[in-house]
Amino acid sequence: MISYLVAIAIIGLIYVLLGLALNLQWGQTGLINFGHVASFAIGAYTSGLLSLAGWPIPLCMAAAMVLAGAAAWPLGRLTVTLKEDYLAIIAIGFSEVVRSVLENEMWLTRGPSGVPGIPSLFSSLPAAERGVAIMVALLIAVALVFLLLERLTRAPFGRALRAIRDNEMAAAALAKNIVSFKTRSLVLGAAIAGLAGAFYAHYLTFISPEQFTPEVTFNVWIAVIIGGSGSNLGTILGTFLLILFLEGTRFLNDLGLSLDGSQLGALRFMLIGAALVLCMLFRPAGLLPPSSRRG
Amino acid sequence: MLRVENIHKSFGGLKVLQGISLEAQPGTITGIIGPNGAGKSTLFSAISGFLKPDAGSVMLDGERLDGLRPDLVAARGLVRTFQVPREFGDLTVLDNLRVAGSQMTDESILAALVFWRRTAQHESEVTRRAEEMLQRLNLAAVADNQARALSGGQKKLLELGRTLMVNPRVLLIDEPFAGVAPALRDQLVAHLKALRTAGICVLIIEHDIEAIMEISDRICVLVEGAILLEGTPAEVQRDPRVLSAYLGSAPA
Repeated sequence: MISYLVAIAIIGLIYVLLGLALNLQWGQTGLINFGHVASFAIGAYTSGLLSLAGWPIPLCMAAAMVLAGAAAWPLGRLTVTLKEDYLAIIAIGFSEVVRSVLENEMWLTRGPSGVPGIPSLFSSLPAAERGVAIMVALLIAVALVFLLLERLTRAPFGRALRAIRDNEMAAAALAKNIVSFKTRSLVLGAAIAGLAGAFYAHYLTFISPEQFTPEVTFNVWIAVIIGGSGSNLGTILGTFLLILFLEGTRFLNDLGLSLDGSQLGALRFMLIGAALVLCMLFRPAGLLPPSSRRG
Repeated sequence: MLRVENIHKSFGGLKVLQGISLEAQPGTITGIIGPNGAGKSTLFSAISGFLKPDAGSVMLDGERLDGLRPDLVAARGLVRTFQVPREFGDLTVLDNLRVAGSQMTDESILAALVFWRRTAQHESEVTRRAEEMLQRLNLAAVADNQARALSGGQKKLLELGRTLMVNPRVLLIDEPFAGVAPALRDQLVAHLKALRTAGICVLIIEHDIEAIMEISDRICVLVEGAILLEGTPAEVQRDPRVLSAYLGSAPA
């Protein structure tokens, strides 16, 4: 039971990292990044493959952040010519391109069968303690990322991002370089998502393209929206609720239902959908929105 | 000095600006009037970099501005407002001004994480200027309210204050009096006149003929994408073509 809870906590904390990254891009900057999973995948594959090539894991994780961030840079530059909403389409395209590269570039990614045998973090520890150690490392990473983002949010940098989110043309008229701010927000968010991917790879020790479907992107979106776009604390709460729902609904049969696997799966998503609709009806700004959106 | 020369702009087959030229000196107010669809706002967009003119040039004190991105035009001291106020709705009134007053160098990630001491110094200076501006515009009472909660007239004032935080040399103001209550109107007139005293070169688009005649040094009448007439308010008001072209097609 403990190891199950630790496993959920680890996946939950990885989703928190993804959520905090998206909250920077969407909640602060207003970027509709529907390709978030791409940065996650690039981070996971970069760190996984480099560690298999013999690099020390901390270095692999740093490389994962750098590469995931760098891959988002062209996406930011594209916003020069794109009106806000079209970024959403381009970003979905980007994440699907990344996924098909993972599926088809056998020489690099080993294709659809995935990459097994990735070195685990803290591999010298016995299995049970290893999980706890990874969880603690993730807690520290989440705390650092949270503090970093809170600092940036309160700084003139975050204020400029929110100004661009609220009215791009007005910000440009006040001498703000829109593309530069958007690119920085995308790249920093992608680097954080890359870190999440690296943790994911070195926790599961196996990654494959089918783990990086758009469903991941939209789960993170649900977490940020339920929690309260623009608020880092809200994002953490939203992720917690999302994981509670995703995991909790696994045990529906214990309530006396007798459903087979696929029925249960369908019911879970109906419940999650209903929860999202109810949340948007009664708390349209999310459960814990930034103070500027309360009331 | 702002010198706009022979600006052309078409959208498809529609020629919106057909060779507009004008000059404006620091410390003067130029009123731009004309019927709806004459191309006034398009002219502002072409001057401020939001639209790329098909032909023609925009020079500010000898430096060429056409073809530059809008933020670079603004960074060189030519700042515009919009016909419909574009406040940063989620930001407080004070923050609307502080965003405008902050330099991009203080808005970097490194400025927040590494050079935070210097950033904080600059920030307190920006805050002081923003608070002064709020006093001047009579918005101090709503400093901590969100900008979206302001009235239409207050948003116009805020937008004016925001542009002033950039320290502009040229200010393009699009319909400052639209939707402004009479009580605020006199206040706005005083603010606009003060810009002239401050040595700013001001261009104003306005449908409120009485107000624009009162504050302008020169008036440009724009009709169908071309300048019909330019002169002092008195000259323009006497001209019979203005009455037929302007008042004839747009009830005042």
